[in-house]
Amino acid sequence: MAGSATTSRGFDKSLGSLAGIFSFLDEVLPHGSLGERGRFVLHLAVEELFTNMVKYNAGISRRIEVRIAVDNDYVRVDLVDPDTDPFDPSQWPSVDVGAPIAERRPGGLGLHLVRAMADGLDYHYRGREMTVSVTQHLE
Amino acid sequence: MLEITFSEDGTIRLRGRFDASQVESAGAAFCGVRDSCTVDCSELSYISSAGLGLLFATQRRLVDSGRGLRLINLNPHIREVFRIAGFDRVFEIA
Repeated sequence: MAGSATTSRGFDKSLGSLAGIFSFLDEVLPHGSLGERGRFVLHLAVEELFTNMVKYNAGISRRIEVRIAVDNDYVRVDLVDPDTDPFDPSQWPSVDVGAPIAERRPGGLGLHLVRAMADGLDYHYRGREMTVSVTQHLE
Repeated sequence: MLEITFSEDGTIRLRGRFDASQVESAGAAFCGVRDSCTVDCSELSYISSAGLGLLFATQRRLVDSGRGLRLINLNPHIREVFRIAGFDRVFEIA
């Protein structure tokens, strides 16, 4: 994303941070730049990835850094946990969304939505620092 | 923020954003749902898998006793989420 402008902010590793993260996204992204659907998808993707970090990622870190990079065509949001075990969301098993109600099992639905709706999903892990990124086209 | 209102006619109205931070309070409200009812989503602007999961758990509990939730007035983005999740086959959606 050469030439992009990046803004970052740290948030407590807690579900109580979600409202602040949504506000941060709306604050940084130019009004209307994503369209209604793009904004919905970006909020959804960031929430699902962030809540996964809160619930499942072991480690001693208590903060997640949210970086927003915008260029002419894309917005990319990086969620950075500085000290955690690896968890690659792109490798999470798929969910059988056609299963009957009695056979549906909890778990994995959020990542299924992200993979189906977001324009891009990336993962990097090095030296116990994990970065999960979602990319969305600007309108 | 999510507001849940129970009308006298049995309709449940959802207003606002149904994200993971709302599930605990919403769960307390939905656990009291014992009969079939309509959930009006006309003022629901957003839902994530956390909200879906709570609605699904309620639906499964009701379906076990021959009842169910009927969802109405979903905005296009929420309708898309339900479709991708396969929940358009789990709920009656009007």
